[in-house]
Amino acid sequence: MGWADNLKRSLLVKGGVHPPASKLAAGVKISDGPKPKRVLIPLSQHVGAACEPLVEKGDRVLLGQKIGDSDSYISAPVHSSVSGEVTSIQRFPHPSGRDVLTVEISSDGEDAPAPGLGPAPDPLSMEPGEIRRRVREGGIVGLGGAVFPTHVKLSPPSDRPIEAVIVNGAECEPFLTGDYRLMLERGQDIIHGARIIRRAVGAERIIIAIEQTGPKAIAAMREAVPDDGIEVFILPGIYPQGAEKTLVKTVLGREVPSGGLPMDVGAIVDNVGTCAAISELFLTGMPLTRRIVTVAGDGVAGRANLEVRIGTVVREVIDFCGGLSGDPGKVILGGPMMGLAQYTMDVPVTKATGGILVFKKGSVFCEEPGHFSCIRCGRCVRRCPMNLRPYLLGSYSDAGMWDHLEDLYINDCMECGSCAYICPTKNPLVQLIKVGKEGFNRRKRKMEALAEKASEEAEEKENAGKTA
Amino acid sequence: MNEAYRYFLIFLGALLIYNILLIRFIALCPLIGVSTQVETSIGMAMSVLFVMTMATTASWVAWNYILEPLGVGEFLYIPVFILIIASLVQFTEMFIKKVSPPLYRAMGIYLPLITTNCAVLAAATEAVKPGFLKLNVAYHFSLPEALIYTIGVALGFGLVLIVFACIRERLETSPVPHAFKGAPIAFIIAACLSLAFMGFANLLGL
Amino acid sequence: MPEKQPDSELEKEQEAGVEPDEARAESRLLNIGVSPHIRDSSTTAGIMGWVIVALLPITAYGIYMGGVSAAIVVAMSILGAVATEAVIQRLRHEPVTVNDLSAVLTGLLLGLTLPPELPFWMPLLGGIVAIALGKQVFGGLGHNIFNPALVGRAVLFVSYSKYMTTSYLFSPKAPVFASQSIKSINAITTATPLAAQGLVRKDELTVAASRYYGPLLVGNPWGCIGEVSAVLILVGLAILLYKGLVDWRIPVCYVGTVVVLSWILGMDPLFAALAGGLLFGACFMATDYVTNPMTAWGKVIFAVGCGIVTTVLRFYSNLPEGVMFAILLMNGFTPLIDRYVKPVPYGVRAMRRAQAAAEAEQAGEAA
Repeated sequence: MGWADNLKRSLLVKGGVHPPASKLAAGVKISDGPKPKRVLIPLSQHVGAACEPLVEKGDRVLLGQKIGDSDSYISAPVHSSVSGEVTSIQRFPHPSGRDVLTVEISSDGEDAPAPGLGPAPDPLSMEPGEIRRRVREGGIVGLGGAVFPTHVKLSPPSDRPIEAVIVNGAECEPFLTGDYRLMLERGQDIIHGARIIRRAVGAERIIIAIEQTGPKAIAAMREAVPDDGIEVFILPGIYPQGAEKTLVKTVLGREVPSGGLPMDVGAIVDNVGTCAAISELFLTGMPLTRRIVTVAGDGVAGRANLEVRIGTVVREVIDFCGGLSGDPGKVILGGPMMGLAQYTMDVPVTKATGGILVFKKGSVFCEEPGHFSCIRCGRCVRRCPMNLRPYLLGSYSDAGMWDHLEDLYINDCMECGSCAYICPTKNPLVQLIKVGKEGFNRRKRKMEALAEKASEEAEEKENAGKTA
Repeated sequence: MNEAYRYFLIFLGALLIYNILLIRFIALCPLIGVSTQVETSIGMAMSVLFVMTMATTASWVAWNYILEPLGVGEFLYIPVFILIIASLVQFTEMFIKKVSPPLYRAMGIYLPLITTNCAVLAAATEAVKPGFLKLNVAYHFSLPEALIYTIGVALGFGLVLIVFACIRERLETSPVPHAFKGAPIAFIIAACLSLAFMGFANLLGL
Repeated sequence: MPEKQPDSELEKEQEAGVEPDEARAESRLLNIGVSPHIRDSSTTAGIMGWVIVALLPITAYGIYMGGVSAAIVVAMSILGAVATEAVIQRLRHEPVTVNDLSAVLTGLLLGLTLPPELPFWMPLLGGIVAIALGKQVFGGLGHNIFNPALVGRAVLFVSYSKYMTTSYLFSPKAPVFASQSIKSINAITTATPLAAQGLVRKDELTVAASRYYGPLLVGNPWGCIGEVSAVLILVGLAILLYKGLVDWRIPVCYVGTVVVLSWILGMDPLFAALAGGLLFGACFMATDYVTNPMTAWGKVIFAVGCGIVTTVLRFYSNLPEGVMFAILLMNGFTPLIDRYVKPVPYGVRAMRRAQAAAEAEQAGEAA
């Protein structure tokens, strides 16, 4: 295959890269994570407005009790993942790199559940509005990494009919295996969750999309699929196949409009983990208080797919897996392509944490970025799944020429890192694009404000002229 | 020689083989001055095409019907042509401003620049005195020949100007050595492009 | 609520005289470099190195055919290029990046496009010009507009055209010299087969052209050092394609255009492809990353443009060969192509369609 593959690639290459899969923990069954003495539950674990705390220092909280919520539409409540006492509410390090208001709870080890949690009767004939309400109250967000509040996704406007629910089983990030294991072990849960979603959005089809690199998962899901409009779709094994927009294009052959959402083309994409969480919410009533985390990398002694309580400190999870082996170079939350490297191991696992990867210095990219240098090899242009021109984004961003970034559609970049991965001069393209987005959007807001002000002034003058 | 082929040769000679900017190095000041952005160079190219065509027509008429019959062409043509071009440009500017403000905004700012542009004078002069050029296909341009020649010159000017502007735009983010920033690097690019255009020398025996 | 950056908090702690938490201070040592945290193994030096490897067969054979003088030409142009790169970078107080091999490659490419019999200072000068005027003056690797090796060669070509066009190699080692036909051809030609074709023109062409196939493929005695064998050039191209270093569109479209146009104009198409510097130029010069367009269609336009100009120059100008001028010219057009031939980002078409539909709807409502 080698030379033929190479030939085909050099002839028709378009979009995406092939990082080594390194699915070290693919054969390890999902098991329970550590039972933490203390959890740190950040009040901002999702896209959208941060929650306000509902508890106070010294309060006793129960497992699954809502401890933070917000009035904002795009937001999701957070729940306690243990029962115990609130010891403090203050800023703690958060995986995003900022310090975020966090509820610190010391566990009493009893896991006493909050009252009123129980299975929902017959979710498949429930009113869509009721499903949405329950999903929101359950704090369900997209578990694929984007952590977008799921109830918002489940509420398409009436002029956007949803045709298909795409269940995203493409775990294209190297090392991560949580979704893969979930498909092998809890296929029924995933399908149950997908049906609830289908009910909520009024779709007809459910398409379970799985990469061809996971034949066992394909077989398992095929076996689990009953015969009512649920299909299994096999995806090519390429990074970033699991990104929402790429997935919609591959599965439905439609492009999501720039600046739009999959619902604009009649699709809703949900991760297998999200489906399983919804299923659990309706079957047991337990809100989102734990998630599956892959622990791998050569910097950690063990490898595992753990069901970790949200709020568990990363250090504790690493210790649970046998601790560090050697000096850690990078501790990454998420996958190696898009995950965030942490400056400390004292951050909590949040709803976004799909993996904890620890690498030694030699096996991970640790070089300091030099100044931007491009040999115009064109790989980034060919590999960009969004058809952007990363080399220009990088060079204009490096030069601070924000005005040029608009025509290059910088806001369509999803920061998948394909360009930086393939770049022979190791330009920090993702970083430059992040900086460029910030600079461009700030400048755009400023210009808009100025224009508004100018038009207001003109109006005032006109009015003044009229009265005079 | 076939009529159409002669027109073709005149056009090609003016456009590429004797490109006014890169082979004959006339009108370097707009090349260096206006070519920092592609939009402005497109505007400049359009304006030059427009003015050059008009100026050549007027000059050709003045030469063939006034200067030559009076026998004063040889020593009066430069002041006369400058007068024609300058008044024509001013008139055009006023006319466009009155008739089409959007066109004026797009083209108007370049018109005063063109008044003193040597390329326009050169094109007008050569259209009536083609001895400047080794174009042995025609020694006395008829009006259509003169027009084709002028359009060739203007398009050659525009083409190079736009190519040049694209190159300079790409170099905007390049760490060009400080001493070479601005005009020096522009001259070096001009030299390299000129080197490439030298390949066309003697094409088709021109 | 305003969100504090961890660093500012640490600073505050230090200002207040509080010792920062020891564990926390220690864990600050963790690298927080931005994603992706894994990178492809390719490097600039690796790419340049593989191009040099692809050039090695033809270089070795060219030197074998051209003898010591050919070796001196290649060595001098590499020396000129590398030394100039190092000196200029030192003068500019920049890190000296000779070890990324790009200057070596430029020098090698320049040397291979020169005739083997040249005074030693000429390739040296060419190498200096190539790097100084062709590359460093634009800001170094990645910023040059024109192929540096071709800039060097063009300067030599217009400055010392007598040396550059007549001193081709007539080495007795060339295996094809045994054949009588080649000798007879030599007798009537002054320089390269292409020039000879110019003399005999169309009538005898189809007869004569096939006689050149053999020597052009395995032992061309008329060309520059790098043009001695079409087969070895194609071997080099195969290496580049296998390693995924060049886009196949450029050599294929370039040579294809020349072949088709030459066939239309009445020249033997295979001869047109093999003769002169076309193959070398199409495989190694036009494919230079920095100086050709970034998009696939841009590359096709670039290559077809090169092909058209090359053919036009071959047929209608005094020059025997037009590859160098054609590539330099299209190099100049590359920024223009890159500006107007660009990929349409994902979703932009859909967005425009949606906008148009919304506008039509509005217009309909207004009506």
